Amino acid sequence: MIMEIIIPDKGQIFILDQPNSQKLRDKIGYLPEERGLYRKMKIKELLIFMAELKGMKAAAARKKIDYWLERFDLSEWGNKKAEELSRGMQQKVQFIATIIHDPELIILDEPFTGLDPVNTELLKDVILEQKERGATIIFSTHLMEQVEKLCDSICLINEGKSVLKGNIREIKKNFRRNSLLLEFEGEAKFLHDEKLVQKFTVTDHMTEIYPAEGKTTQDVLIRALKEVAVTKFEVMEPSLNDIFIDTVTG
Amino acid sequence: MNKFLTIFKREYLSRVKTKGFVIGTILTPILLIGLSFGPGLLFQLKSEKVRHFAVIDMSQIVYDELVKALDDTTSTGEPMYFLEKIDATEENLVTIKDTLSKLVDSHKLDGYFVIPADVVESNKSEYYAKNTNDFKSNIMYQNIISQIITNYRLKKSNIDPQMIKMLTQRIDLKTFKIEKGGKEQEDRGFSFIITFIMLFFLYMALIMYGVFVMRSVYEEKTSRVVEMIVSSCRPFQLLAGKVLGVGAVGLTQYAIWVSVAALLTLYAGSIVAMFAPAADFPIPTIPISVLVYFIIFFILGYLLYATLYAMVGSMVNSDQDAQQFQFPVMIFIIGAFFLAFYIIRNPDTTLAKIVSQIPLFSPITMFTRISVQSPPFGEILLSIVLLIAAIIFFIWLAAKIFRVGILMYGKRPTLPEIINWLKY
Repeated sequence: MIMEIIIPDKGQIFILDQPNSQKLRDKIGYLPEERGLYRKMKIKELLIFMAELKGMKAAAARKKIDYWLERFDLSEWGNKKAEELSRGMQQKVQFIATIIHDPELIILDEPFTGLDPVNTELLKDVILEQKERGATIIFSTHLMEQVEKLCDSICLINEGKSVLKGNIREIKKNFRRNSLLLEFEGEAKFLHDEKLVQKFTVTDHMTEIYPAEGKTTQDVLIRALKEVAVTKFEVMEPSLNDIFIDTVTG
Repeated sequence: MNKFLTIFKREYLSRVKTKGFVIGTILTPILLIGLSFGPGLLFQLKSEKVRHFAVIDMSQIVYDELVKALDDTTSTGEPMYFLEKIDATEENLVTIKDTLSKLVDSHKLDGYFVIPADVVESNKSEYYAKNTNDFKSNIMYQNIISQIITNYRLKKSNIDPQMIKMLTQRIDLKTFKIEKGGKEQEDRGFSFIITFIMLFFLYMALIMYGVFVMRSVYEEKTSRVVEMIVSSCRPFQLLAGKVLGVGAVGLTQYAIWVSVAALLTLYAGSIVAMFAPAADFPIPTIPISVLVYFIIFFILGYLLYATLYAMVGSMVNSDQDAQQFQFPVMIFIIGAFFLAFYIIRNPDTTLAKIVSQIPLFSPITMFTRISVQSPPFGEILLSIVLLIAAIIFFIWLAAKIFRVGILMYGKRPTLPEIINWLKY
């Protein structure tokens, strides 16, 4: 909708504190989920074309393109046609096209699909660099671990409605109390104290304990130390994965 | 505007720089000329083959005359026909024919004629050969033998064959075309040929470049490049850049062809003289006004049809769909082409006047009328105005459908859906 690919039924869109306009479009870099390249075009020409579409001058674009091709280890492919590149390489080219004009707002839709671990790391670094540069990045993905590593704020969308949004630390803190992962020997009567423990799950010889209302993991640990011999313990933060599943399934 | 130029430039360069463009530009006129004149020219080529014939002349009046008539020589001056008279009677005819047929079969003889004794009364004669498809030669033999028999009959009736020839001389009807301003020009059918060639080029161009635009849109759509492009520019800029970019390719190609044709016309006299020294036909010239109208109707017709084709390209998801959806567009071009044949013969009828005003037809039909018989300027102007109005309407329509169509994947749009897109 920002890119005016779909037209809003009603209302108005503000981007970077300005009403949406064609001119603003040049400050945005958009990497769609469904993406492609002109198969018959040479990579460099293609990137110049994309940069010019974003209002860059060809000469300036050429310098940047050389830098980015080098950075993404694609220098020797610059004069090859797009159809000769592997899927991962094409993806890197598409990413370069997205950020070539130093956009203030970068929208990435599943940028990591189809990349090997080395390139995933590389792309992650570059995305974080763009963030350092001051760009706002909207990042859409299904992989919660990437969200945890990369994002400051999140917005969970389920069936077209925003179900959860805000700063990722805040969300984690507010979502529910942490749990305690415990390995112990002896009979644990405290597990059945409803005032202290809301519920617990046993996997292998580890027990995950969720404290009851008003109690903390500390309270549970102190009580446990009194009753059983604790051999191992760990305070667990809820993963975004859990939050996602919990929120969506209600 | 800049973005439009960027798209225009890419569309243009990516086409002109391909080998396909270079080859197409060189091959198309060669193919066209080859196909239209080649078979005729080949047929004109005189066979240099020396032929041996046997003649069973039982009437005793044909052989001598036949030898006289078949006196062609090869380029080195050798006689081309060797005839041998074979005597036969009704009794041994079958055996002799058998023998000769065997000789023909073993290539020792090219063929033989059988002239019956009663040829003057029965009007029948026979020719046997391995190759009976050389109908040009067959007709020649038939004419020669007919002539020999006719002359014989005339002599028998005491009429001088020369006299008959004189009395039955054919009358030549020269055709003159009255050009604008009352100028007369002799026309030996070239006016028709030129009209036809220009028509054909117009027809080809509308379909060919139209399909280019369609494919370009459709390929961008299926390769999903379009998602990256549309996020940087308005769909309308993309549409305009494409249509005009491909159009510029077409103009480039035509400019090359026209300049080559112009050069050829300049030197045509000497070229014709080189190939056919005896030929004396006036080099056909195209009036400047017709050329100007050709360019106008080419450009307008292209804009109209390229827009329609772009629309089709944006709606479809597969090659099969493209074939199907482009059919309604193509039918108008083909229809106009057929109407043109009617108009060449009847440029002044009410039907001709009506169809030359209908925008989807007029690029071809009005141009045909202009080239065969300049219609009143008012009618030309009206058709151009209507055409431009239609182009504006279709561009508006296409822009609406295009912006939705290029991002619609999966299913084929239904008619109600397409109408819905218009309401955006």
